[in-house]
Amino acid sequence: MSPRGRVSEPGRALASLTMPLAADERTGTSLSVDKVSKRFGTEEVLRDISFTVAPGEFFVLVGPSGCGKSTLLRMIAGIVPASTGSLSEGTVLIERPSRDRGMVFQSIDTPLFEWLTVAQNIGFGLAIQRISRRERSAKVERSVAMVGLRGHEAKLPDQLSGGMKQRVQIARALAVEPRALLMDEPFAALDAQTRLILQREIVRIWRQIHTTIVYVTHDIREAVTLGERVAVMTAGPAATIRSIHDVDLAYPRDELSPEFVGLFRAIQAEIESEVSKAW
Amino acid sequence: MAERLEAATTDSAPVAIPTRRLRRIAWRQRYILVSVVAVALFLVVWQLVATYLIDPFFLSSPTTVANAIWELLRDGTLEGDAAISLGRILSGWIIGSMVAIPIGLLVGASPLAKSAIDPFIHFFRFVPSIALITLFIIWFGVGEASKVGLIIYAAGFIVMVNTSTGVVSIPTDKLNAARCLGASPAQVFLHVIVPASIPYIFTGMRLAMAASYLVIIGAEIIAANSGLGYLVWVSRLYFHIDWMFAGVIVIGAAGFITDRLWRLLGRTALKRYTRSAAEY
Repeated sequence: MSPRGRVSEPGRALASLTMPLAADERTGTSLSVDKVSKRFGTEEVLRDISFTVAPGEFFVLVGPSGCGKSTLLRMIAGIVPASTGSLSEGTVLIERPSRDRGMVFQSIDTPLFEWLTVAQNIGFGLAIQRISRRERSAKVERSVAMVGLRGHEAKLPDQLSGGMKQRVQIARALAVEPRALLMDEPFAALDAQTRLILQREIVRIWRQIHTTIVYVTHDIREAVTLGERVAVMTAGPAATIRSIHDVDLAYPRDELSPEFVGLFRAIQAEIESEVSKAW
Repeated sequence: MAERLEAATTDSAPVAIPTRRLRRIAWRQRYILVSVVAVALFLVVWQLVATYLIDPFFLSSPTTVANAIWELLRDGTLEGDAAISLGRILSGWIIGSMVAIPIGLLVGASPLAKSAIDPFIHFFRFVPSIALITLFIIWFGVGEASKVGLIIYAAGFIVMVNTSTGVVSIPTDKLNAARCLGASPAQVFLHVIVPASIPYIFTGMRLAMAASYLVIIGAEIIAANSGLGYLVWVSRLYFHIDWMFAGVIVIGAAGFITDRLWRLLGRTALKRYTRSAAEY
């Protein structure tokens, strides 16, 4: 094996993870969306959406652009309220954002606190809980190792590449040990190379801590690469879930396997018919 | 392989910095030289125009002004007046900003506060402080209070509007990120809204500094027996056009220096917060 980059290598980050994980970190929470609709003014964006995400599941929402999948994710986060219906995390109703549901945004620059170092960004959620400095730095260190940011702790976000900034976002969300991780097209703004790396990384991290993940994307290949289940949304307005596919393929997935290609084509056909219907 | 790519781009960065920084320093020196040459050229043209074209009664030459500055410095008038004006400017500017920043943050962050306070901000910021000089003198007397109060007024609204603009322009992703990390509204305000508004507060205070100079000179011309504005105004009585120029030059120089010091603070201690706001 050739010598590899010291920061981004997944195997090494995994090996450096020495602290054992607490039991409740391994199992994420279940998330349920129950007859949810969303209107902005008079326009109905989402109509009567219901589904449940199992604890520890990797659930992907894929759909044509503008269909409201980001809005749906923001409702699960508690950032945006539903117009009708209800959302819950486990048995608890979702009414506002909570550190139980970490969020990773598509935008590379705006979600980070540019006046804080990488380590301070990652420790933000812990610092506001007034967790002792010692415990905080241990948790930050673990998150840093998990996403492969060792050696970059003292840098400011401005000094990082796009891929690194998304790593910081992921580490920051994971540092507070959320029960679910909500990801809104987190790698869409990155170059193809970096996106491939981070897709592999997020699967590794998920398998390591087994938190529940809801992942929004418009990229079908990405959806089939990542998800245990892939929900396809209809085109808006009044978008809803059209179908949910089980992806019964082992990780890491072979994109050229007949099962992968078959599923990819099936979802692509569905989305194409949605897009043409919208026109 | 692909992983190496991402790591390599960041790893190689520190090696590239020294030469790039050296080159940047070289350019900066060249730019400073350009500034020096431009100012020197201006002084030469001014000297020629004052010597050969315009009656010295109306336009003093740079050398006469330099003499006047020296003369006024020797008898202590100039530094005394400059210190008095600067004292008024700095105290008014600082107090005004300290009052305006919390109000600006509040107006930017709370729709309720905005509805209540906005009409007053956008009414009074169009009432020139010079128009209020007499009123302030009646209220606060002819002493320092009326002059400092006037600067507070002039600086305050500029800082307020800039601060509110700063709050409003914070990307919602940043606020939502903090909320999803468990931050309460008060924590979002303190740990995200305040630091994220600093570039605008910094610029607002910089603009307010210039406004403070305008106001204090005006106030000292109308109602004072000290300060640079007073110096410029009384020089007229003695037909000392060179003293007037000396006063004007010192006002400009003091403004220039305070602005550079403020920018220096933005580039050093506040660098993390101001980002590009202190670049110019």
